[in-house]
Amino acid sequence: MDNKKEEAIEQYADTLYKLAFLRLKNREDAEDVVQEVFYKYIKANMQFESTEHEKAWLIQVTLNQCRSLWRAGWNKKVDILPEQEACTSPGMEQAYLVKERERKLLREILKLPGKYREVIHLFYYENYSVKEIAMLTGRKENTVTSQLSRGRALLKKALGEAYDYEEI
Amino acid sequence: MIMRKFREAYREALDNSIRYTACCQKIQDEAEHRDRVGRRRRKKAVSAAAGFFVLLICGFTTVKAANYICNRISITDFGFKSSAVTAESLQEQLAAGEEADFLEEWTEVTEKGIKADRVVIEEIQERTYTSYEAFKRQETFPLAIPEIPKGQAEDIHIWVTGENEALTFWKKTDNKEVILDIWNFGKSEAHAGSRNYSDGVTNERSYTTKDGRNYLVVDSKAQEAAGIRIHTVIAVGAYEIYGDYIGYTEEQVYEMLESMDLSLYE
Repeated sequence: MDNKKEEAIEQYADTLYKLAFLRLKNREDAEDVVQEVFYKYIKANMQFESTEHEKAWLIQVTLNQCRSLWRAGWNKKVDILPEQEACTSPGMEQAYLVKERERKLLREILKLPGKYREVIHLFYYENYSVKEIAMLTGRKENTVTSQLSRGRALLKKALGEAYDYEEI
Repeated sequence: MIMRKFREAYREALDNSIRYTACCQKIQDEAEHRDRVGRRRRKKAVSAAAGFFVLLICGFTTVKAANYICNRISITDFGFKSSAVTAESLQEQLAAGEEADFLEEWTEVTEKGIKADRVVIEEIQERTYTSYEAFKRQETFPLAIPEIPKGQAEDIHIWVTGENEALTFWKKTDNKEVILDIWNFGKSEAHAGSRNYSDGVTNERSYTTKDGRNYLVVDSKAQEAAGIRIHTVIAVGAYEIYGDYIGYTEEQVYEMLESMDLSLYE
């Protein structure tokens, strides 16, 4: 494998893993998906016009791979943060509260329907525009806008008015 | 009150929880690749001998069987399709203005047939038993077994999936087979699925048992060395029960249907 591909794998592994995990809610499957995407990436010998094109291709393949393994079905426990130990000193209290807030936020994200989770993640984490998300997911822009809006509404309902969602 | 930017909060929360580094060696390794493909196949293979089931489930809650509305099962060119939704769930979805997406998802499988990349049963925490007694000792899934004509050599396997979401019963008697796939939708607010047999089905009909249970029945177009292959389906409460009977005559199949105690599923 050439250095360029190794660099790309290093650069995008975390991005693709997060996306796959958000979609599948399972670490083992997310890892399998990412490894398969990179396996295809190595074998496909694609010529990309730019780094953005390369990243978009990897994201699209990841989403397709996740769909083929879509876990809409079984009711399983999802907990991406290990339970925290009780804080033992006043200094730890702040860190404990921050962790709790993060845990709550992620849990609510994971409770969203898959397609809302996907667009919320691409918009807020990957900073993609609605138009770009539409291209990546193969949906219409109106559909993405509406899914973003519904996802936000569900998050607001669950998390209260604690955040500014920079609505479009 | 100063509101925190959601974008920042989400990024921090995710970055603090999930970090991943890929191993290039592992990615390129052909043996690892084969393992990954194998794992996916196993997850997708709900029951090797029976038809392929594509399933879409919306939401989870505890649902009483009686709450299900629109429990529809019908025959397609390749098998059966089914869908059901609870009145409460439907109302909630409509009230939330999500009818378009919800109905689109709900009907996607049922109206358009199988989408190859669509939902397959996954996260199979499958437990296997090679005798009914061993199954009974460990499991609570209701299993109504028909009275199968006795033979010389018998082999039995029972697979239970997840938290009693599905059960597959397989019994081979000489060269004949009975496969029951029982799906428990008691935790889902809605579902749509289709069970497909690659050779297609024909001769659709229904059979009503003496106690008034109505089965949909089809024959496979496949020519079996062992004889005909008959498929049946019935919905009882929150359960759907699919049966594949290979090598048995129609009369024998109907006798087996008569012998099943489906009150277990009510």
